[in-house]
Amino acid sequence: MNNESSLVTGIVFLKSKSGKSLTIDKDSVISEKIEEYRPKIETLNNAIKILEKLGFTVAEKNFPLENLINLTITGKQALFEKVFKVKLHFEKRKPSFESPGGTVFYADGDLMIPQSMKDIVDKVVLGEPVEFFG
Amino acid sequence: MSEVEKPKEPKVPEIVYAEAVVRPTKKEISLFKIPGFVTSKTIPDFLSESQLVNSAVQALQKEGFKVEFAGETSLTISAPPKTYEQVFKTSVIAQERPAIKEFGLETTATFLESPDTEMPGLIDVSKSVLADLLSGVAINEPMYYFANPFPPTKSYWHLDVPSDVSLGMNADKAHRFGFTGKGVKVVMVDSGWYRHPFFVQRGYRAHNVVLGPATSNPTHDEHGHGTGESANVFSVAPDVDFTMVKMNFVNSIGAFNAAVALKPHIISCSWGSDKRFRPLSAPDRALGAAVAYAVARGITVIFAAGNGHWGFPGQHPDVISAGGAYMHPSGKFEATPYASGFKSNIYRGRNVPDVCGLVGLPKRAQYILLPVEDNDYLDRNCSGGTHPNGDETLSNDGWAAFSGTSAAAPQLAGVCALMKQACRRLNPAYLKYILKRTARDVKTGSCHPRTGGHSAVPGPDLATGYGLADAFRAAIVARFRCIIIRPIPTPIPTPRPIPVPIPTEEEISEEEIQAMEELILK
Repeated sequence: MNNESSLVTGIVFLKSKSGKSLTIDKDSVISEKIEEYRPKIETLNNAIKILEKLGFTVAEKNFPLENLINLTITGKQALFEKVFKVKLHFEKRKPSFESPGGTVFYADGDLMIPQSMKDIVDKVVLGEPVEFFG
Repeated sequence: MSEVEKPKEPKVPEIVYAEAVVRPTKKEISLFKIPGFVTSKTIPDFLSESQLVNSAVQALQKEGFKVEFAGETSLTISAPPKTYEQVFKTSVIAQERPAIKEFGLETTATFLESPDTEMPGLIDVSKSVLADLLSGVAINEPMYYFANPFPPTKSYWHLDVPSDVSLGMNADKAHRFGFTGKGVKVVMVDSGWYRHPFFVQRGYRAHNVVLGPATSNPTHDEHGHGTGESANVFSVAPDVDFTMVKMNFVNSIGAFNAAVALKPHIISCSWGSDKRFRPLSAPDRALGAAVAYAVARGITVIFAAGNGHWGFPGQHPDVISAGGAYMHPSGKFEATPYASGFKSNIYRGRNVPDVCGLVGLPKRAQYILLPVEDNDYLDRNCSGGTHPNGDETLSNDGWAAFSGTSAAAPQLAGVCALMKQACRRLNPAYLKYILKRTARDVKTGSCHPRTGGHSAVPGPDLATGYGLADAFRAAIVARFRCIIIRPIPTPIPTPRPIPVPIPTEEEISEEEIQAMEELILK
């Protein structure tokens, strides 16, 4: 079933300068090691261009690129399914003490990276909900 | 006692905001022509198919309107008055009419009208190119806060903002010494922020809300969590420069990135997920990396530890992890079983929390009475009942009692702001060190059973970390360190807690005082 009105959120892991991968390394990344996982500025620029061309909104488009480790994208369900060759399902959550509520999307498999991005993107995953600790 | 202001000359503003109502698909009826009122039972008859809404959005944009927000029942649009006049072949005129503003002030307000319709505020669209898409356009009318800047008076033991939270965190003394957070930029990532009279009347400095990805309505906080918890920052550090980044609950990373882009000194987050064991999910790794990078760039990041959650990123080694201590009316404090305390299974050697703020008791921790947007989710759902099962406030008075570790994080952010004002060059790790060294040891009570129910004991423990943060001691030590010690030591030493009270067997001698003076002036 399609949810046309809600936006899907994706997190884009970019390939790092060092070759290390945030999604593969078993080490839990802390500030002393984070520099090894930074992408090149050029990589960030190229990724933003390609993602926008594909139809996504890149949240960090106008942010200082030197502050970024990853990117987040939003788009409609149909766009995500078409670009990443995956089927999405969604769940509508009501507001609660712990959550403002909204729509959570799930994928029935890994999101496939399009050929145009394979050199610069490590992985794309869907956003996960968080809770207020209020 | 109300006052009466003199009426002013009405003026049409440069930008006019309105609600464009898209034609419903089910029936050929108009929201503006039906007899009676629309109710929750009849509203489905007035909804439109998404394709029609999309067409209306595009058509409005083509005619020069900005579509601010596409809601379920209307589109919020804005444009100069000339655009409305040209497109809808009407005129927009300003009228000054009687209105009652905040605090019962009887005065006038400017209302905008189209002379072609009888219904106040309605623009007839039938003569425009948008007639097939819209039922009508309703010009927004001025709205005034009903919420009171004063919290409601309640007989049960609770904390009011700012006074009781400031006192409980020992921030009042820091304020007397001139440490108020002035010049320190604090950003909070949360559900949004409403410009409640509590903030306005006290003159707190808050910028317009920055929208994180997939959010809207920057002037509203539909849930209430962000607005309420932000009062904890101002209670401890009243002069901070504050910005809220409104977050979509599945796009916390995007919102966190937006916070970092604002280049703050401090980021406070009162949310997370429950992660007891490895492996961290990919989104967790992304968020953890974003946090690590922010800290590497000198931003102090505070996360709530959780309320029975194995909070992530609350357990990330780079953050200041905020736990909970409960203060009784006597001033005594103890660990609270509402707050998390644990040894992380994900980061070796990482104990949570680092230090505590003020947090309530189970079952609902309705302990701090906080300002919220009237009639928002928390206002409605915390209200009524008999305390502790309800805060006994009204559901639309703009006040609600809630205080998990969500409250502790912004309180600690406030303490960090005081320290940062005292000494700008202190880095995040050193601020954490001073917080720990100067905290008030919590020796009784226990933390949440789900994370182990650990007991608070003399000295650092899993229930409360180094104890309840002390804003005054932290600010003074930060200032002292700034004066006498030039480089920040690396690695940061293990903090040796300063006891409360500091035991002295005899008076300090004149020799000792002179030695200290020479040390400071060295």
